[in-house]
Amino acid sequence: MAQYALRSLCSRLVWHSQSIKLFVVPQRCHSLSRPLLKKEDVEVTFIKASGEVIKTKGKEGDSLLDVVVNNNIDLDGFGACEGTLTCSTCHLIFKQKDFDELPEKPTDEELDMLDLAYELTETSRLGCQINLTKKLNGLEVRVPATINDARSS
Amino acid sequence: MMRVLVPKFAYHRFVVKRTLSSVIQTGSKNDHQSSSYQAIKGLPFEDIPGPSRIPLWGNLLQYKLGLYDWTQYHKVLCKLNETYGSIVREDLGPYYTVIHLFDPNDARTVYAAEGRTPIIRPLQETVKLYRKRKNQSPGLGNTNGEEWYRLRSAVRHLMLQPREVIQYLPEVNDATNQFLARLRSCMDATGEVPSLNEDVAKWSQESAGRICFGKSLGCFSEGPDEKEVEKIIHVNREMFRLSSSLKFSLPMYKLFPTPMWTKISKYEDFLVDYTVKHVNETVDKINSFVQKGQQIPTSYSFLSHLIASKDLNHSDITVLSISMFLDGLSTTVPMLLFNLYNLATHPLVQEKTFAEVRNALPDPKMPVTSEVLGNLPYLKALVKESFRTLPNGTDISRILEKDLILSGYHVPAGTHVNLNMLVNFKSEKYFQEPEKFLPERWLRGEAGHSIDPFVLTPFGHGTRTCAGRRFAEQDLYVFLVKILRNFKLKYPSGAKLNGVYHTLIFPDGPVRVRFEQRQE
Repeated sequence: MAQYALRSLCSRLVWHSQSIKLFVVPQRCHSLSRPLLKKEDVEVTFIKASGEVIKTKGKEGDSLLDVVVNNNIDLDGFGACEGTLTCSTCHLIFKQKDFDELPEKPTDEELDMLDLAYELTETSRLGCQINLTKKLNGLEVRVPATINDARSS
Repeated sequence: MMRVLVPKFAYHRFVVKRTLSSVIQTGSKNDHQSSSYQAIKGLPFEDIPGPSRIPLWGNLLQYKLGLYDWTQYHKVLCKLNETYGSIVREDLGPYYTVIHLFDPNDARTVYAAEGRTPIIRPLQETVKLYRKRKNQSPGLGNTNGEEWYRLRSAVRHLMLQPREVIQYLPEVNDATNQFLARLRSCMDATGEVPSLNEDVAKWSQESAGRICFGKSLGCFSEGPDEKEVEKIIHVNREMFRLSSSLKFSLPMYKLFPTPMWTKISKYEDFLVDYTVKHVNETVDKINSFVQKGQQIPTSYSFLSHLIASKDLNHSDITVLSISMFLDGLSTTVPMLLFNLYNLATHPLVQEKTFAEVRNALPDPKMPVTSEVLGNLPYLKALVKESFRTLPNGTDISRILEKDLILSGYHVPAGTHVNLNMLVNFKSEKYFQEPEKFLPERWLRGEAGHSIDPFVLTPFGHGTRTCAGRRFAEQDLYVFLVKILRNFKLKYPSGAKLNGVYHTLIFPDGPVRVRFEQRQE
């Protein structure tokens, strides 16, 4: 019976989904609709645990995780949960001055994930939660070594 | 249209980038693994201590003979830890070796070694088998590797991104208001609600129904709809009990349909039929909007997201809806009851929580918004403390992807390990005054206190974090705020609540909280 019901649902969905996909799915999320203004470049420097320095650029409004992904920066395992605050692999360490000036304070969810990060410092944040502003131009962040890196080195 | 395309594109690039890097990694990982294989020198795997095993049965005999009580599996784990140390081997039948880990350092090592698609063992083998036999999509909890990654990617942002999940706050508020009305109408003279456990489960279904299907399921309608939901609650509860009973038996059900397996199949049929019926109806409604060229109302956004996802087939959509709709019954509901019990039995903690809640939500009739949820550090600490004193799950399971040294032993890739951190919850080594119920210990910035973060990860950690985590937490917080804002909770003196293990840990009897209306 269940199987039959499931199968009939499936056959109905084939048709449904084709037509539905042409339409806009109702969006509850406001954050996706950003004004289409010209966004300025923001320069960011990543310093890896090995000492390697990576200078790159992001756009205003991008998160530091976006910057890593969009520029194909090779940071092993960085951003594993794709910015959904369920891991701490995008852990970054800021200079005190930059840390104090970050536009948004960490949420409870971010703090919980930071607790589980390696090499946690007083100026640690998760890259996925930091959105670039013009003011952050020239930002320099340190990428801590993961346990994996430590083992293979 | 742009609104949809922009994020989709971004995720796509993400997937490509991650896939490429994982390919590169695999190449180098193999070399790395072969060299590290020699470098890793721990005590031999065969020497891992554990209770004595017999052929075929392994350690099942201990459970069969009643030396270990499987309904108190959480206590069995504590006993194994005390007797054999921080790493213990148990064989639960043929080909089912489990390495129990009790040290948070080992949990850290296991999490740190995880790749892009960590491997788990399903919570209920019975459900996995049922879905396989019925040709259904196995769902998130029963898949691994790329198959899991496909499903997870489709729901990751929808279900785990905090800003997405708060969009469903109105549904949770509405369901909670209905629950409050029910509470007021069925309290006895002492303020006790005779069927509190069941009413909380109905609230969970009401909330989940509104989120999944965009409508009230009539969980408090006092009509046939409510009767049907009661049956869902009962059947789901039985499923969990029977599944855990089978976990500690020789898996004969995998060879032929044993009476218990037949029962489980029948129950699962019922749960699937019920959910499929509602999925069907919702899809029809969404479709009629599409046909008329009208915009789909936001109340259907959950299912329309799933339908619009290119990576999901039709069976996936149904099974994901089943999870979203039913999983709260065995997780959020017991945790909520445990939280109510803890509040009712610790009046000082309750007053402190109430003070915070009153500040965050001055008008008890107002809905709980994301701003309110952002101002509840003590309530969130209380929930963590409840996870410590009355946990819901016993373990986080993983199948190792590479060889690791755990508690000094060499544990090879492919081994099933369970992170059983709950054995540390009452230990002085990890908690000061562990016997006391003190949410304060979880508050940030409290002087002189630091708790090993890997001791308490009730939802797991990393990319395989419980997919329902965000919804579960949101449900819990909204419910607790609303209850505390409206009622003072008390508990009959002498009455005590414990946990019983039925795959997960449930209250062992009726939760007898007494509700007293707060006057303001």
